[in-house]
Amino acid sequence: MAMPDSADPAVVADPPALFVRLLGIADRVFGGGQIAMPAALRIAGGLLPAIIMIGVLAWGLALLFWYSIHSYDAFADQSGPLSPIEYATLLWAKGAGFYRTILIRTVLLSLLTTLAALVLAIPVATLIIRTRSNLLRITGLTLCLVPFLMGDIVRAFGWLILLGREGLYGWLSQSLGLGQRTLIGSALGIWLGSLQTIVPVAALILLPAVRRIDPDLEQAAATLGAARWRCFVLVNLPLMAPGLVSAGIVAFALTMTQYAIPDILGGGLLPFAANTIQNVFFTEGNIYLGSALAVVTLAVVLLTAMVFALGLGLLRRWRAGVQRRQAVEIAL
Amino acid sequence: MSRFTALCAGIVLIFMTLPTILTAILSVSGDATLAFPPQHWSLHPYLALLEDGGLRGALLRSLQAGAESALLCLIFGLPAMLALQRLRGALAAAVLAFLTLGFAAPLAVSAVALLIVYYMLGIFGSLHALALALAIVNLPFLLYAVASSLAAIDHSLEEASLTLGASPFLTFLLVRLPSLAPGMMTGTLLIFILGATEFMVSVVLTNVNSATLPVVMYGSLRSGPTPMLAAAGMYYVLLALIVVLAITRSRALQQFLYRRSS
Repeated sequence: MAMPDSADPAVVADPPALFVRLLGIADRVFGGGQIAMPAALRIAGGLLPAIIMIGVLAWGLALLFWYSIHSYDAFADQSGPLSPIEYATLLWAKGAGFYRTILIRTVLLSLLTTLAALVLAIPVATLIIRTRSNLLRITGLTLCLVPFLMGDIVRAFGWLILLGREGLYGWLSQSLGLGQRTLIGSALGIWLGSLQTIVPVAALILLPAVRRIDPDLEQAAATLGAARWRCFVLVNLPLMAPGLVSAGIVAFALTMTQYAIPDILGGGLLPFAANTIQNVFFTEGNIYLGSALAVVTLAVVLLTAMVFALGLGLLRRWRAGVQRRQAVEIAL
Repeated sequence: MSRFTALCAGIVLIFMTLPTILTAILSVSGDATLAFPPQHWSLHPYLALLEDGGLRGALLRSLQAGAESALLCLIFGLPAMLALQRLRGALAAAVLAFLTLGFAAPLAVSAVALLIVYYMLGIFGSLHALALALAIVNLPFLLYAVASSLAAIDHSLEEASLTLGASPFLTFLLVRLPSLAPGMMTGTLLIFILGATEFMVSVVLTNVNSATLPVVMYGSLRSGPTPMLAAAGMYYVLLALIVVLAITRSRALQQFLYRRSS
């Protein structure tokens, strides 16, 4: 939006008379009376509609939790008494191995994806912030945002024809005389597909953190004789740490709860937690067990976020402590 | 920025674009089934897609759900953010945390939570109900986008307006609202496209009559991908590209992406 330049008389010319009259009427109708409304009431009035809207979701989540702590009477298809049995079925009862395997697979693959996404996002964010070419910056941003905005199914479709037997991978492997191979149904396929979803998000979250790093600091480190990798580890990485933690939390939460990528690229062989929630809900029709699995998934995501955040807090305190000790040593 | 960094970034960006490029190549395949490399070339998939009543209807429903959800977010989110700005401390943080519940809860969990409520209210399967669900989970995008515009507001302009005799209503209408416009536009566009391409919530909350394009595409993927699906995917890529080119020019996106505190 162009700011009117006060020195330019052409810009401050009077607006059309009709527009001014309309504004006057609107002012008299909506604002003229100045109904004395307490500020608190006005704030509540602004917030209430949105709170009610989100309340629908909060209500649903509360119901999920309520169902999850009840047993399921499959015979009568109704709720049994309060009981921890759904959680036992998922986590510690005999035969819980099936669900435990799914949860462990989900967490492990999500951690691997998060780690790789953070490593890959650093150069992308650096390129977007540091490049002097406007065209390169816009191109980088576009290539990050388009896969983020085109949706799960289109992304999964792209990987299906890249990694599938009939796709690029199958064609290449056949051309090389290795037979028509496929990565569909493998953990590697899911990992690659997840990365395409997560790297752009991680890069976008890292942008402010990379922007805050003063390029002069690297220059100073280089002048003082630090090798490039040492400068990266000792200067850039600590400065990026808060951004890396937020990016890590979001990346992990998003990967943990993926549905389309594990479903389509896993060929149905390697379900994630979200796939199993759907399966228990809609194929088995057990909303009690499904709710418990949803609550467990939510708990894993929230706990991991807390561990990440706590780790960052500890790191900061440790660094502050080191600096204080150094200051004391210098003073003595 | 070293050459090494630029090289790495280039490789990563190409890796992220490769599936899209492949989709583009296969969307002009003239073969009956999808296989790389295509034996014939043709624009037939794009035309067939528009003639196929089912897919066209699904595409239109997707666009409608996206637009409705964006409108809902604007109507409910903007007053909330303006009110929130006048709260301080723990209360403001608590309200913001509640309003961004859609980000905190995984989509797979939110989807089934909303499904249970929708069944109780008897609105399951309606396209408007889907739009409401999409608005609920995507509201944070609007809040953050408007917040970054709010943070960049020049308060002296409003003071000048009041001093020169404009009423608070006119000051809001003519000074505050235009300065929030970039944030509103960025947020609304983001929510529109995220809603139009959303899959997880849509697959749970739609039935045969209200299925959106991603849900229909998912269904036909199981019976084997066809070039027509690649063409449908390219419509979404194109839509995403248009939105991205529109918002990368806006100042609000710069405020949003490069915001000072993270």
